Amino acid sequence: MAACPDKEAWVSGRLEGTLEGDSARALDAHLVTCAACREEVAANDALLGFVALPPLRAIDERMMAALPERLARAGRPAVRAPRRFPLTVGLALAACAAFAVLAVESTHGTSPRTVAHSVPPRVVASPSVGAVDEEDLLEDLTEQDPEAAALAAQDLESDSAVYDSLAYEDVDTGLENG
Amino acid sequence: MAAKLMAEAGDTAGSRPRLRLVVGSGSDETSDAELVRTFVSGDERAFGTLVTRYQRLVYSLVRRYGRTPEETADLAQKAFMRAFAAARRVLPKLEQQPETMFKAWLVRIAVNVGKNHVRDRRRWRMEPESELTDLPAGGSGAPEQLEFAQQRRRVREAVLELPKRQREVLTLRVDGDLPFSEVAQALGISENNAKVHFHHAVKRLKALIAPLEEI
Repeated sequence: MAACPDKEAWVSGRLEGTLEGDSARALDAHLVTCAACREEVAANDALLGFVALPPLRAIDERMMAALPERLARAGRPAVRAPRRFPLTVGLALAACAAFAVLAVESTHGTSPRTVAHSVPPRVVASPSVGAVDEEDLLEDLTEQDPEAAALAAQDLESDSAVYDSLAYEDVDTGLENG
Repeated sequence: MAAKLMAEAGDTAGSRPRLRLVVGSGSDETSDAELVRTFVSGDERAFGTLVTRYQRLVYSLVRRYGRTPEETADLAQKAFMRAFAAARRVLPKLEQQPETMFKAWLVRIAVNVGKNHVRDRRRWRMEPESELTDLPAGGSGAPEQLEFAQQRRRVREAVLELPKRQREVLTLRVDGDLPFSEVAQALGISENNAKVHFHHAVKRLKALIAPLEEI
C-alpha cells in the first residue's frame, strides 16, 4: 500500500529526518486516519531500524574512549619486552657459549662453509626513535619479504593518491541504477 | 577532561611526517578551521583536539566494517593515523569550505579505511559479533528473537548489495547521523543528489527484502 500522493513529500521528509514544525504535526494528524500512510511510515521506520547498527555497548564506549591513548601509544617508541634474565646473567651465558664453541672448533676444526652457515640471520631493529612511519615499516618488510613489501607499497601508493586527491572519489553527477 | 593528543612531527621536511604522539592539551571551543590552520602552521596539539572531537564519529562509521569492537578500534586508529600522516600535504589544499572540510575529509578517509578492510579480508558476509547479542528485550520468545535477528541480517546484507553511492549515502546518514549537507560534501555530490540516492536506497531495500519476507 502506498502513501497518499499528496502526502508523499511529507512522508519523504519524515524518512529523511527533515520534516518538522507544522508539516510534521499535520502528517501526525493525517496518520491517525490514514492506514496507507501509516503503513508506509511504519515500513520506513522498521527498515531504517534494521539498517542501523545496534547501539554502542559498554565495550564499544571503552574502546572509543581509549582511542586517544591508543594513538599516543602507537606513536611512542616501541616498548622493549622485559628481559627474562638480568643483563649480566645473559652476558655471562653468552660468554660461556662462545668459549665452548671456540674450544670445540680448536679441537675438531671447522670448514669455512660451516662458519658461514652459523651466522645468525640479521635482525631488523625497530626504529630507534619509535616513530610509526609506514615507509619505514615498508623498508623493514622489503628486507624480510620482498613480495609482501611490493604489495604493501602498491597499497600505500594508491592510498596516497586517494588522499592527495582530497580522498574523494569522482563526483557523481547522475544516478546509479535509480 | 578529555585527554588530548599532541602529535609531534619528527620529520616535517620529508614527504610523510614521522609520528610521535604524546598526551597534550587543547581547547574544545576552537573551530575546525582554526585547528586545521594551527596544525598546518606547526602546532601539533591541534590535531589531538580534532581526534577527541571526532573519535565517536569515526568509530561509528568504521563499526559497520569491523567484526568486533577491537577490530573497529583498530580501524578507527588507522583512519586517524592516515589522516595525520596526510594532513600537512592535503589540508592546505582544502580551503574552499574551511568550516566543514576537515570533517568531510576525515569521513571519507574513515569510509575508505573500512571499505579497504572489507575488500582485503573479504568480510562482507560476516556478521559483527554484536549481531546475536542485540536481540529485542522484553521477554519475547526464542522464535521471535530468531526472526528478528534474521530480518536484521537480511537487511544488512541487502545494504551491502546496494549500488555504491546509494550504500555510501545510506550508511553515512544512518551510522554517522550526518545531515544530508555533510553527506553530500563528504561524497562530493549535491545535497539533493544525496537525498535522491537515499530514497533510491530505501526503495531498493524494500524491493530486495520483499521477496524474502514472502518466503
